[in-house]
Amino acid sequence: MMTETQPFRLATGGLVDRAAPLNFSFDGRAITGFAGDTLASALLANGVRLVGRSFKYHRPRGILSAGVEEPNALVEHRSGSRREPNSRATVLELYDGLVATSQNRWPSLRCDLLSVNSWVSSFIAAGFYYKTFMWPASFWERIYEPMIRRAAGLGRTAPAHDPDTYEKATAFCDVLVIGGGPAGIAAAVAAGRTGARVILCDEDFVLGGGLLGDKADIDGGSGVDWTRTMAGELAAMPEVSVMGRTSVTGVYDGGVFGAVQRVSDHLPEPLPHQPRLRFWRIVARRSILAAGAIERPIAFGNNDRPGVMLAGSVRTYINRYGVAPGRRAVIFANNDGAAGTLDDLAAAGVDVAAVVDSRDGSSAAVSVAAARHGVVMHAGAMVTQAYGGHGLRSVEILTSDRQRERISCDLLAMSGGWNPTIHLTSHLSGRPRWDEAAAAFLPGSLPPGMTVAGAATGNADLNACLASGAATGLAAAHDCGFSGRLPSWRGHGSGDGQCHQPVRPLWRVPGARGKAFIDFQSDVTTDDIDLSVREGFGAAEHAKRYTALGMATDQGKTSNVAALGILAEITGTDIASRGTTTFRPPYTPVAIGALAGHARGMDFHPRRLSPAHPFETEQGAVFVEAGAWLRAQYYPRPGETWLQSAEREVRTVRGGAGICDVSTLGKIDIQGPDARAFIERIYCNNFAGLKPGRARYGLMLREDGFVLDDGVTMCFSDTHFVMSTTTANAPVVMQHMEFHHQCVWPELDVQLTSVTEQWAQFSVAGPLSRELLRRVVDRQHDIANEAFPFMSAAQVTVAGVTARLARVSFSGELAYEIAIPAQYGDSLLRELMRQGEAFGVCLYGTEALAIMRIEKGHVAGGELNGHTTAADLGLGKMMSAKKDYVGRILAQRPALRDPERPTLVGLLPLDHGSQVRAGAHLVASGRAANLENDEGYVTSSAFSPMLGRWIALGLLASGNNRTGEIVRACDPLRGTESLVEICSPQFYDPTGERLHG
Amino acid sequence: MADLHPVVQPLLSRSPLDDGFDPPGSQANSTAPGVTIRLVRDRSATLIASGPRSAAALERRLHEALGIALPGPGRCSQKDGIRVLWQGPARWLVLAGAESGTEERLRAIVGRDAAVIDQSGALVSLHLEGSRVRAALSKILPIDLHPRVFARDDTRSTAAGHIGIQIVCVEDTPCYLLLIPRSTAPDFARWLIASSAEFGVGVE
Repeated sequence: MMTETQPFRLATGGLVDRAAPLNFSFDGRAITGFAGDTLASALLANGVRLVGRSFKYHRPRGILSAGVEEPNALVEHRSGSRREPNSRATVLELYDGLVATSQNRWPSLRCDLLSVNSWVSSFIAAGFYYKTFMWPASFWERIYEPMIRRAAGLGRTAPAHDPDTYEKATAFCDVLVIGGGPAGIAAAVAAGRTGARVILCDEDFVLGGGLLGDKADIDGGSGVDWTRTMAGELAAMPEVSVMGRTSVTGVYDGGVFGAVQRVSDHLPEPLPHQPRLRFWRIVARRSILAAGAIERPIAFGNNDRPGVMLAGSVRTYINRYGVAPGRRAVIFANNDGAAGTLDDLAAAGVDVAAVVDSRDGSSAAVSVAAARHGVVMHAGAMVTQAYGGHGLRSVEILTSDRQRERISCDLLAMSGGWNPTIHLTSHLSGRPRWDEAAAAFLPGSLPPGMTVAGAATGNADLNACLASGAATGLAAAHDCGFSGRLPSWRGHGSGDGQCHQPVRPLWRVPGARGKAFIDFQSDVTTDDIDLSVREGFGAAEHAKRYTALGMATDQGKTSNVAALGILAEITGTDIASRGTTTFRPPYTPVAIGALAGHARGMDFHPRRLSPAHPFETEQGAVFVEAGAWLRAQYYPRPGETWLQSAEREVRTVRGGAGICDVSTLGKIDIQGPDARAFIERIYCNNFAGLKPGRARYGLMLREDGFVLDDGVTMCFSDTHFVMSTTTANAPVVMQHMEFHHQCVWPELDVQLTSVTEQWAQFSVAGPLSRELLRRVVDRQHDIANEAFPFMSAAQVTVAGVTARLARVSFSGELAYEIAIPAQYGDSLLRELMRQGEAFGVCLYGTEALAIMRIEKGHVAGGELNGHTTAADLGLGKMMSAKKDYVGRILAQRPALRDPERPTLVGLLPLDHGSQVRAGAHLVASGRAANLENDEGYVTSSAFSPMLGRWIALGLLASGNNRTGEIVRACDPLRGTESLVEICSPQFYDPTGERLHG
Repeated sequence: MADLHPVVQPLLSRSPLDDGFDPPGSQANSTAPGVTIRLVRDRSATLIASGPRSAAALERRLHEALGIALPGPGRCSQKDGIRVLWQGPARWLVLAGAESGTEERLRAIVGRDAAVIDQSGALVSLHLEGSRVRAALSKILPIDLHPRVFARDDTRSTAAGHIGIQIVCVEDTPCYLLLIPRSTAPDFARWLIASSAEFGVGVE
């Protein structure tokens, strides 16, 4: 393939590897750059200046900056399922085969039809949406919303499932250094030399920060050489970790920082077993913010034309990438940085047409430089307008004597001063403070343990950066108990003084013509700010919402301060009193995948598997999520629907024997001299009389008197009980009991231990269950009806292994629950099934379990819903009058004792074929189905194989007195309704004869 | 009639990691693994929990019988193949060989001074070592494993995502023992393998 030349690449210089060409494509065009390039530098090297279209007006946009602040050069990176919109070309590290596509244009970047928006822009200024799409209301959903959605947004998300993986990780250190420029490196070296654990995070792919874009020298060598020496020293320190390509994005309580590491974004695709991104939670005892500063644009007419760039970025392209961003330049600045810019442009062979310094009078530094290079100097002048469509062709300036002059150029290097990068200082509500001398916001109150070094303090002088870095690094290490010497370096940067100026704020050029942009990415102009103030949105936070300024993916890094300055100008106040908008994490965008990490797809949350899960899988179980557990829902035979399977399972249990895995029930071991006293207080019913070898159904209330949970508790001795809870409530019950143990009755000597994981447990139910168990439980244990009646509990053995057996029933049949240490659970279930073959035993799942409990009117999740009292559930008599227990007092509240409260009832559809669904509301016959007439609702429903019809349980006002009444069960959500007869909730075997079989 | 039924078979002990523990694709880079994972099969786990009134007596009894001092918060102690882990105020977990009848032996030693509760089936034990094991665990555990703060015989109960686990520093080499709730072991193991894969992972 023929590679194009790179007409704007300088013959020498920069940190790119000219021996390592990299091929990439932009909008389908094959282009070549070098290793060490960003996409932006490679595009500029090839003379590509038009990179994207703006969000609202679809204006042609180029490259403004050379860093994370970039608002214009946003592209779609990669293609297909890896496509990532709004990737900043200025930080996108070039690799061989990179594919980038411009955004927000149709049909092509050069010819974009929606650029007509620019012509109608006076109709779509800030607030346009709020005003225009108000009426008619019928248009909101069908016309306006689809229309806005189509026009809104920048870039397209990937069309398919992301094939990459992501990770989250935690790191700990004594000192976290944020930023790898001269201050950050100095801090890390100073702290690292003491032996402290140091993490240095740098968002760039090469360490050095501002040194890379500058012709600086330190201790007689170049700044880049110094960086390499220091990087070598840091790499050799065992307790120092330098994390490149890592952006610290947030500060959180307790010295916790969020950081995203771009592990593979610079590769065609991640290496095997490597994630694309890794999100770090860094816990640091001390932190040093050395994040540098971001240059400010100036608002003048058409200041968004490709070719209008930040001056410092122009220097970065020259010095770091060996690229001249233009042939003929004009410099427009309000500070002494113009001198360094002029030096670098001249050194790169760029023809500088003029230096326009907005400050009145002459600046010595700038005029000396202009004279040195023989460049025309316009003091007290301003650029009012840029010309050129897809690329800058000339600028118009207004000189100090009010003359307008056109200067042809293809590059404008502008500088409105610098904003220290103080975002992270504000994440814990710290407010920055306005510094009049620096004409910038400086760090105000800091997060605990944080200090600020380098240009982020407002002083970008190289020696000051090195000194403040070394001092803060050593101090931070010292705070962590380490000691060492203060390192000292002497440096000189051509950018010395660049930041602390003397600067005179220039937010917008008076008399500018054409759109003067402040927020390039949100397409917010100076006129929008004017409009916002006129319409009453003059406060910083209001203007932000009204205009959307600072709300794009760049979060207003180049625009927020300018907007505040303009607001202050318009309202005649000073910027310090205007307040600021709030910086919040993340500092730079974080892909949502990085925040999910491993927790995705089947790993979204850990699933709890029963000990017998392997056997149940072999038996064809269909599993259902029950909390974190996977439970066997039913075991379909070939051709069976879930309902047919569940019906067969019910008939098999009621006709012979079935086995259900109930390992998921919560199990709490309760031991100690006060174990019984503790249980007495936790349960509302009596446990004083429960003898060893017996089990009892218990009901537990919350402190507020409502039912919390139910379950069976076995007594093995006066000091040893084992309680079971429902699957869903197991953690809540444990928490409830631990709370009362630790905080309410610490005097009780009782030990609570969750043994849910320790015991596999199976319900063996049906008339033949005893005969089946007789085959399995070791012979010496007598489980005959007389020896082991209903509600017995005992420790037994199975093939010599200790097990626990209780005769309890949820199905209403003769039934047992057998528990065995979990490691034997799978084996025991296989053995039960093998022995049960002669009895025609089957496995049954949660569907059959639910059908049988509804047939018996036993309450479960639908009824134990946190809104029901014991009396509501027909269990009021269980509440002991002879003792105190949790919930007793508040259960006496009048509303909880109201006889008209909804109570548990059975419901039978009059039409045998019709189904009543859970969730349907109950309304008295002949009344309208509305909220006013609502008398309760259906909590559970099932098709009863034994009754051959649908049955349901519900909660109905005054339900106890309404047996035989016909009410309407209305389900407006699913559009169904049926008439149901109120009956006893015990549908099947109401006298409980089968239980004792 | 009874003779027609099959004789009860001995019950087999089974680990949830018996199936599917081998990581797909990890063999390729396991020649010099940075992380080696071994499932510890033959060990019992027994919880000793006592009340405030009997903790001192318990400590004395155990020391007399086993020669082991009960460790304080965040620590464990060991002797003759028995390892005792602090698990909370007046709670210790005793790890020992599988066939030692530890539960009965401990019950005899502690008498009425503590509850003795078998947790052998509740916990899956993984033994981890290798030069990159700390890097792998940094993707799973939110705690600091640097030897300056987590050294030999230190232990922590902590959260691996939604899974509560306990970790012991067996050796500073480093070498760790992880105790994982049985029901979550397959998902935990998959996470561990995925986190270790980039360093090369060997499974024993």
